[in-house]
Amino acid sequence: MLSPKIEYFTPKTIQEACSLALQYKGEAKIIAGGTDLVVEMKRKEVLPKYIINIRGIGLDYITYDDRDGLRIGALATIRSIQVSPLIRERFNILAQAASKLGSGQVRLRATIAGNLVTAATSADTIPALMVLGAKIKIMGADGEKIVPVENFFTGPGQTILKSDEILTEIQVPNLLPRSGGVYIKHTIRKAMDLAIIGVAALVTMDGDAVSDARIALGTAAPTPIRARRAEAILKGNKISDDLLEKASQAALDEASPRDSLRASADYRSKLIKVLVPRAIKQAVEQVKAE
Amino acid sequence: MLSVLIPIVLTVNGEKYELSIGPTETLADTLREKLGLTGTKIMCNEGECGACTVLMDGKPVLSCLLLAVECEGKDILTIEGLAAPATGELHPIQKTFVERSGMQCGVCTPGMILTAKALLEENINPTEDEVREALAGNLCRCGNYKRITECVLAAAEMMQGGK
Amino acid sequence: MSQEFSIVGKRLPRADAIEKVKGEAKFTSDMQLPQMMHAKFLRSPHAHARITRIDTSKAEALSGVKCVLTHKNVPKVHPVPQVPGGKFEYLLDETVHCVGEEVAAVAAVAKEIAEEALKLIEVEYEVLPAVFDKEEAMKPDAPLVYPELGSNLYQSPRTIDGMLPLDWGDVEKGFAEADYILEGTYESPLQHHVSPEPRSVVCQWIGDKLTCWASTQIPQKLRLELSVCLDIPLSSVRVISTYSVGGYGAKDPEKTATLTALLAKRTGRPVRAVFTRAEDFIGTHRRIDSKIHARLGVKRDGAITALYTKMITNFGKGSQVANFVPACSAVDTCSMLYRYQNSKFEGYHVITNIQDHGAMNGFGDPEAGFCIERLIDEAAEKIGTDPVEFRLKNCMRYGDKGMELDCVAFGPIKWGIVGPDVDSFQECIQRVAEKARWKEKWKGWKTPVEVRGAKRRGIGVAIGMHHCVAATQDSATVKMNQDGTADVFSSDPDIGQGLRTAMAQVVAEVLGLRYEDVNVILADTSVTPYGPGVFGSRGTSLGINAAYLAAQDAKLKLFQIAAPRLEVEPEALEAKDGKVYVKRDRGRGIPIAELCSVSPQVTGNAVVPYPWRDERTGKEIAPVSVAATIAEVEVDTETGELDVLRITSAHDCGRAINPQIIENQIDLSVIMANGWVRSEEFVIDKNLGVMLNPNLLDYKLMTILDMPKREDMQEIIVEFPTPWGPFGAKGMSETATTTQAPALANAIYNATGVRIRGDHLTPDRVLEALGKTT
Repeated sequence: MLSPKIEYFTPKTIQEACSLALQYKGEAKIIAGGTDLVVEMKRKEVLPKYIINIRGIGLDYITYDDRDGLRIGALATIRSIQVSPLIRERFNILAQAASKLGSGQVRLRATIAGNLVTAATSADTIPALMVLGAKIKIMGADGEKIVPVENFFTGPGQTILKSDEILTEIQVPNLLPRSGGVYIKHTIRKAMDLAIIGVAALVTMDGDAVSDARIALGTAAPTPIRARRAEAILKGNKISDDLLEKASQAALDEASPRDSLRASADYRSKLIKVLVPRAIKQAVEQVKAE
Repeated sequence: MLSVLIPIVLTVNGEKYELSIGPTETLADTLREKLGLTGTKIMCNEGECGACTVLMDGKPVLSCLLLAVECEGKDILTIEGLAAPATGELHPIQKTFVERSGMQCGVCTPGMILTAKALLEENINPTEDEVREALAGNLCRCGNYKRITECVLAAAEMMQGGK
Repeated sequence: MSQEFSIVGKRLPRADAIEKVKGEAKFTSDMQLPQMMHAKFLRSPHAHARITRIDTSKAEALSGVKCVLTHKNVPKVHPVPQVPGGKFEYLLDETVHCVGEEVAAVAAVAKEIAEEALKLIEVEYEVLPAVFDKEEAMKPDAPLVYPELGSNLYQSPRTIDGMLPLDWGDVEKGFAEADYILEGTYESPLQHHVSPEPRSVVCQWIGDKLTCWASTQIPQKLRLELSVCLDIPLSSVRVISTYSVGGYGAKDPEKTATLTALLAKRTGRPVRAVFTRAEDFIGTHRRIDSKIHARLGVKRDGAITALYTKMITNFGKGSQVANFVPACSAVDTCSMLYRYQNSKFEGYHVITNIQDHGAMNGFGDPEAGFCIERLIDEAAEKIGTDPVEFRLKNCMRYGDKGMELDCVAFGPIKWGIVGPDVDSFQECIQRVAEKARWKEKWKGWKTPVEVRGAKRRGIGVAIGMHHCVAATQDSATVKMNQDGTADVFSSDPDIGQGLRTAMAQVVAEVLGLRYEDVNVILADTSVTPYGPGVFGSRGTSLGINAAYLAAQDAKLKLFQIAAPRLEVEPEALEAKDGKVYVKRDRGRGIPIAELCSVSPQVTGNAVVPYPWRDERTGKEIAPVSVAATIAEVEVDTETGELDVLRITSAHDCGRAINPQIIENQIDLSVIMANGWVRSEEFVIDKNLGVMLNPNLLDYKLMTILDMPKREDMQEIIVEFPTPWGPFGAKGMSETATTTQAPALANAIYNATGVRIRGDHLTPDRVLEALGKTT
């Protein structure tokens, strides 16, 4: 790619990265995995004057403790999340979502931060993180702040991240016992595809009833969303087809699926009605099977 | 008009190359145009087909999405480096691809073979499902998936036999 | 089949396998020459426009740019089409007729500089009215794509007011005799080849002579094109296509090759042009789409009495192949495939402002087959008969009428017959039914194979055919080397279909040489004798046939040298295991190496004699191959998702020169046809004529996970040797594409009771079709 003079930096610490981002505010792009950014640069959708490669700042950990829950470094690759025994054991929905992203080669380079910052409505990890109640730690010139993942997105491809800020960590609190979650990604083909509709569902059971239900939808609105009214319908009740029908209708009402090259609003609406009940049922089955 | 060139040392197929690279040049372009290693093929150039797969520190990555400057200090293996260095003996996967017609036009072949190699390094006895999962990111327009699967499984058998 | 061959019929490794697995095979886009420059093309953003101003001065001033071409400084010549008629525009034109048409060409020292230069070319357009939809373009008030033609309906010598007719018998009589008449309108979609290597060409002049390395299927035509457009003799043009990777009908560089040659001439440096993937989507041709209305008459006893088809196809703004594609649909699937008794075809090929259509795997038979085979299924149901039985009863047989498609397009109409090899058809159908366990799985009309909640399983069958010859001239040379090995020369390229390999096997078998000792040199027009190239599945029937005959010629010459030494007549000799020896006295022989070291100028030549006539009747044979497929699917009736569980497919190839390669080719066509209807969508904006998804994320090829596992992809090779092919072999690759889509559609019907007549079987279409019945 030919470009006007571009400078390339490889900071070694978060502070260095932040100060570079601040210094070149607005004209710099941060590269982590590169699986989104390099494509955007090739298509000339993005023409940075400065590229800041933050792979060197060592934020690729995955840790857990009983009190704080899961801590994922921003630069943990999607692959590491997919295969992490920790995540698969305790937060399997996230490992499952990670396994559906892109292709094997992409997952080896793509980072969780990249998936969040690119903020595509079809992103695979975001609905899962939403139902997990995840929080995002951001570092900037003003210091550090922690933001619930649902508040991170402001529009398609847009987040609250300022140009001098860097996402450093994802925090996932512990789940209550008897919780189970599932991510369904509906695609045209079985690999290397974007979600036409993505549904993440997490339930906590109390006996036969659902004491808590969380539902998040991808590609159903300008950003991934929680379907809170649908959740409210299920909460405290036993699952029945009738209840699921009401919940899925509520989810559809909360969503705003649109016509796009990839699918029609009509088809997406039908899928929401079918996949929300399926996801909930599968999540419930998962808990019962334990 | 051109960017500041960055001096890097790339290690490709065990050999060190001293290069001056623009920051937005992809590894695929560096390999093909600067080093003449055209075995790495470009089919889409946007990371959507897997043809440009090379191994970086043993892991399959899309060379068209990697900036060459990111690859300093890594061990890059391209298809040209797969056969045994001193003897030229083909890797078992290359052998089975030859024997069992694992390719038709040959464009997806280098990427397929390297992705398969990475799989077999991690899992010497994969099931057919595991092979399919591993190759899900490699498109073959010539529709040779069945053959390719057979070649990979046959190579696994060969490699287990201690060959 | 009673004869034992030592090399033909064996699963030998491909002749080019080693260089491909080592990455040593240099494809056109891999080529690097010293001082080489890079070409890029500026493309029209408008579907129909006149260029009122074009200013290249800023582009030319950009450092590193060496040459810019526009309509102002290139010869005003028409590119040479593959088939006369169909290419209407000039090399670079003042008027553009589709989005993506070339407007200018740039050569620069780096491809990034060439790309930058494109942005600096200033073009002003007067936008003209455009039409994209084929039915819209047929209306009397539709804007004319080429006003000088006076119509948007493509005309050829046989068209009548833009309608291409083909009749046999009397369909009105046939319909009157029918007990039932079935009728329906069916559609088939556009498709793009997505050739794994995007279009590429390298041109270099040395003195007055041009060498053009091109990824092309038709090197001699490209040579002619360059000669005509550049106004130089053929003897000054050399086209080399050692690896023309991934053709599927796509590879025909035409005008971009000529423009690249001009850039090379004017700059005095070699120039390489490699399309980007997006450019390959919009700057090359595509498969036609079709809308077919068909009417079929059947009797209660299962006989067909008549078929009427009206086919409307989108020609686009131009074509290499004139109206040969619908001509093929007309004569093959719509006249020959079944014993229709009476048939009538009316074809409308409509010129519009979308990109060219051209050859693509199947060339009219998958398109027509997707209609006819769905209608046939309805007919079988109407009578209440097993659809496999219905096809067994009515499929084409030896002695039935046959004709080649160029007769349909250009005339004269002269019906011949299909040969004895076509009696393979019933075996294809029977073997596929057996292997797919049809009798066990098909439980009758309106009865799915299995129902599990929202998921329903179904099974469906379809048959198909295609020609296996086209452009019937071909020739080859076999040159014996002093050590008794052989070089074979043919102008037909290997595009991955294994031509090089099969040719080596055939020549080795004829001459009694080892496979490794035969070297095949393909597609170098200064060296290889004339041959049209690879398309129309002609590679085996004609290309390899020529090599076979040339090897026979060389063998005869060897016999003539050996005979006096062995004191016998040449007829008493045979060649095997590297030796020429006396048939009835195996002990007496001379090694071929010895014969050649003494007589090193032995060369065999052959031109394939054509047409072939049936021995029994003396009638001209229309060479075809046939296939049958059974598909098993599972439909998720709530989401419309289709799981293809099993594909069993039988293909008739006369003789499998290399079974491994035949299976490869079957798989190719199975998967390409699956992609065609299940996931690939060539989306064109209705208002602007722009392709909206020129990338591999949104133009979705089948991945490995979308196809069944090994055990569930069954290829059956059926061998009924032809009287005319090399060892009885004939081409079959495109026939394999014709049966897949309708087999899937018929399986979906079996699973769900819903007949989908539209062009796609994507989940949303399936769900929509299911919804209509509830």
